[in-house]
Amino acid sequence: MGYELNLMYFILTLLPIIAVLTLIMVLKWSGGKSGAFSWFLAIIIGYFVFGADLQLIAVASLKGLWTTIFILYIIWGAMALYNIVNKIDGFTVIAHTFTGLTGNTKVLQLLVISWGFVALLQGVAGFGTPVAVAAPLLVGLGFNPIIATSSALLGRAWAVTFGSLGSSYGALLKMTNLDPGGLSFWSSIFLTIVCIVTGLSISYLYNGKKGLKKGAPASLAIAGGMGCTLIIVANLVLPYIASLVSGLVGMIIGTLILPRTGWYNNHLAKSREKVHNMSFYTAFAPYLILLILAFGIYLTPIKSILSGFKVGLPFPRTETTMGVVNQATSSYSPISIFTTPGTMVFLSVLISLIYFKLKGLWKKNYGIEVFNSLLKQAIPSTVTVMTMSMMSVVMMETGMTALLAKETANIASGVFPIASPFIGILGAFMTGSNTSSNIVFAAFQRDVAMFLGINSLVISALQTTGGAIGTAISPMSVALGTGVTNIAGREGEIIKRIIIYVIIMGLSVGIPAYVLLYYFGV
Amino acid sequence: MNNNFFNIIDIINKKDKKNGLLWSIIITWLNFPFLYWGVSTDNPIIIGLGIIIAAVGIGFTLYFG
Repeated sequence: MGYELNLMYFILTLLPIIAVLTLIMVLKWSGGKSGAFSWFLAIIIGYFVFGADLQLIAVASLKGLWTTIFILYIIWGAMALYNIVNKIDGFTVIAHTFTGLTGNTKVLQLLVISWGFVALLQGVAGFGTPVAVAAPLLVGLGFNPIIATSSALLGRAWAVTFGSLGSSYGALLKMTNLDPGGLSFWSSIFLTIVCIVTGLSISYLYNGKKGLKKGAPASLAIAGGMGCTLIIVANLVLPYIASLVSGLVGMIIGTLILPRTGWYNNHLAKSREKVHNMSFYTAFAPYLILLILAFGIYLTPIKSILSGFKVGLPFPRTETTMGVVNQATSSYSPISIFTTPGTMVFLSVLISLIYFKLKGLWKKNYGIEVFNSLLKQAIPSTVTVMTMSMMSVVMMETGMTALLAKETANIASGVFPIASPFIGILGAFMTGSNTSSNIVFAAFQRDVAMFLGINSLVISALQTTGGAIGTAISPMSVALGTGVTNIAGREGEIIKRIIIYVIIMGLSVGIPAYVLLYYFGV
Repeated sequence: MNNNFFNIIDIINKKDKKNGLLWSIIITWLNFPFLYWGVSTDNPIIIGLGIIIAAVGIGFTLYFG
């Protein structure tokens, strides 16, 4: 960058982010309206202060919009999936079964679904799918939509780096060129710490101190199982499937072991009676189909055959008058049509519809009713995702995001390991993705670590951990959650509720890393 | 989507959130190929027009959001 960093630039760069947070959390504007305003603000600052021309702004906005196709594909599919199950009253059956399995202990149900099940889904499908699937499932089980969405967002974060079959971890390797063994070691250690904090956070989020007291044994047992599995699989087996296996272990501990222990078994016998003629497998079929498709495609050679069909748009080179260059690309953010998670979700919708029709559960008028409710639910989230994505790409391509990170590193150079996860969080907040956060900031964080003479493996691992944590409060992810739980427009409440846990998670890895680096010379 | 969807004046007057936001989505996506054509051919007039249409989309979102 050809300009001097100063406080004025720093403040101006912060303005769109401050605007998003203030409008959503203080003025209680909807995500879409706040995103539209902040996008406009980013354009004005980018044009008048950072020397972006109209072409750069247009290209950045188009890139942002293009990226949303991928996300919207999942959102609309997941909402359709939820509405289909809801229409046939499947959630009554699912709720009853989960109640039986988890001993009617609500906090255990919440932990199993928003944490273990979500990690399992994150391991295979990833991206927004786990939140989009688990949050409405929890609402169907009788949880408050705010609690359901917040828990699913928090419960997913720790599993993101090694989830989606390791796409964020892959980006970390690619961007830093550091030793893969060292990166997976430190990342798995930090993510395990986050995993422990996550379980306790969800318990506290559910019902304050009472929830924490009731949920602590389960949180520690599940976190112990999932954390150890994550470290073992990431370091000794294959990092790319670490979240998947950990989620599976978490589900087993939460449904098969814990309900039979002294902490939770007193409620086990209460919910055995049958509530519906439909079996659990019929009601849960759309989600089982999704899991089978995801496993069948992502974990077999079919993926490499199908992933060849990609669609990406070429974009020209752009440059600001301050020297920030965005190279021309022949295929920006290509979408692999057949293997993208949205396709899995829509395929599940299609197969489920046929299955329910064959079972005689799908009535004639259901289609139009589901379509209408889908439209009502999906529109606000769609607008939020579109505007937020365009804002973040405008900020990136005008050089504002890089400046923000650079200045943060300058200000926090003495305590950089503590600031490091927060830079990752910032990246994920802006882009809605751990992978994108790593693409934007991983090399930068490695360079700062080298400049400061501290272990760049630890700092790079803190970057991806922060990136994973940050996905919980990214407006795009939050909008996805509020959309599927039918509380669109209440994004501010969610962010307000979970931001403290995100900060605690950031500190829970930043402080130990600081101590290790500066006091133990790691 | 219902019959009211095409009566934009009515949507604006009644501040019909659902249809208003739907229009904002449609305007933004219809503008995509137009603006893309502008940036691909580096045509400042098309880019300028595309940005004006995008601003209308933002306006809709700010008004109905």
